[in-house]
Amino acid sequence: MNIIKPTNSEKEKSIENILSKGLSKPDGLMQFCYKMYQALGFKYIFFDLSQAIIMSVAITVGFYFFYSLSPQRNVYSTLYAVSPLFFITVVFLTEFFERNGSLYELKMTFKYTIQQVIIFRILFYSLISMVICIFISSIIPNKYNFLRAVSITLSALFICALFTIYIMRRFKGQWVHFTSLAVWITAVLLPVLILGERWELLLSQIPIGITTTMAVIGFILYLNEIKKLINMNKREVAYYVGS
Amino acid sequence: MLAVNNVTKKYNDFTVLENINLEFDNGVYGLLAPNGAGKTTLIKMITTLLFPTKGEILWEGTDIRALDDKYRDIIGYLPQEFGYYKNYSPRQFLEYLAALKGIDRHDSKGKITELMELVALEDVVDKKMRKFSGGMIQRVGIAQALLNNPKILILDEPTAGLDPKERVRFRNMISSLSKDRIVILSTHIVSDIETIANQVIMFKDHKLFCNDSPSNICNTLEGKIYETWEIEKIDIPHILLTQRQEGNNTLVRFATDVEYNGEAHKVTPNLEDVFLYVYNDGV
Repeated sequence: MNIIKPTNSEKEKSIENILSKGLSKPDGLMQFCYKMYQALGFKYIFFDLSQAIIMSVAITVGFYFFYSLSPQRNVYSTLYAVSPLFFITVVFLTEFFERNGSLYELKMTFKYTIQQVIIFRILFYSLISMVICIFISSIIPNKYNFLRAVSITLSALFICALFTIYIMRRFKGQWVHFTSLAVWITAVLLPVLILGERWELLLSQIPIGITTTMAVIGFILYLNEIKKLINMNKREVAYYVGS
Repeated sequence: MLAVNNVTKKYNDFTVLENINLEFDNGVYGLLAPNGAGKTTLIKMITTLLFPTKGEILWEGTDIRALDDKYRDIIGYLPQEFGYYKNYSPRQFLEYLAALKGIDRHDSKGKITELMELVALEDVVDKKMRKFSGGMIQRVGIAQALLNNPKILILDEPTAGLDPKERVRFRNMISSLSKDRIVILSTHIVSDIETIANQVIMFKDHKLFCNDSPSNICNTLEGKIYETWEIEKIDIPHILLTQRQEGNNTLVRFATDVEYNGEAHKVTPNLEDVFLYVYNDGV
């Protein structure tokens, strides 16, 4: 009997085909968001978080109000320092309440784990923060450049968001929700505090092309980190169990 | 079938469980050991909260970590310390947890009503949980574990906080639930599992000590358990088990490996005797 044997490339193609049908593909960003929204809706994604969200809004508004009363106006460096503030406080506080709540462990055993819910929340907070950045850049006096302001604020936001997610993905431990605060202090607040006028001078003279490029690169890297976080395997709930 | 294959769990150099092999089919399995013996660690590995340092846990032949959400979809878990939201009613709370479990909203409404009746909380289903007793909260916890009609029901110290009447009700409920699912029950309260467990699993020195029916486990002490009103007259090496006061006299139950013919009579061993005998020298 004459059997036609497949060529090596045909074999490779067949293997690829079988694998592509058999293995489940990792979720894309939109697919993940749609799945979470369909299953839980905003009502359950942000369930019992009103306290943390109100506190974050109050801190952010209080900070802006404090700044508006201040006689010294280092506009660009102040924008750089305060633009990620809502994102930082809301991620920190919601994570803090969630991790210290007595339901965290139980919620990690459900079909949709709290780890996945937190990722959706972070994405949503970053969207709100982008709107805040654009808004505060638009209300500065006309003598300042809007494009410069918005690219500086978005750069600061994405630097904070990127490092926060990176550390959350790479490290585990009960302290991990303090990351956002640490990132804000080291990457954003310290240059403002240490360099002072020189930082303001740098931000007001740096070509807008550079700040815009930084914001775009920051945004792309941030989305990339989020995608990695979505498809990261469920991790151990990090604590010692003594009984 | 759920299979625990050669599972070891270590925290740095400290071994909590070593080389554990277990198989679970439908029925009630009681994990019986003192605090610190590794019951909760095993439960946390079965619920995917912790991962084995060595070995694997398989559901129908596939590693539970690989199954991911498909596995979490078939488990129901009541943790040792069950948290809740004080400002919400059981209905609101269970609707939230049902959503996280991926249960359709329409299906969850009917299921919640059914479960609230099962745990006898139908009268308070819309009352805030702020004023609930420990027993009522525990019953809400049992209801949430059953929301997704789990194939594997894992209960860690489920009777803590329940009064005697609730405890009896709970035992009956578990017996009926175990007909078509695996129920894994962790406790150090012997009476909780003596009547309902098909298999009792005990750990000692971080290893599996026994995995057998309660009657077979009790038989291991056959002829070694005695009762006496005059314990001071017992002059052979023995382990004191329990004491019961009756008027001015004390009836003492003890275990001995030596055949004894003095002022004491042999009694049938029960699971509590085995527990006290096995863990006489600690974990």
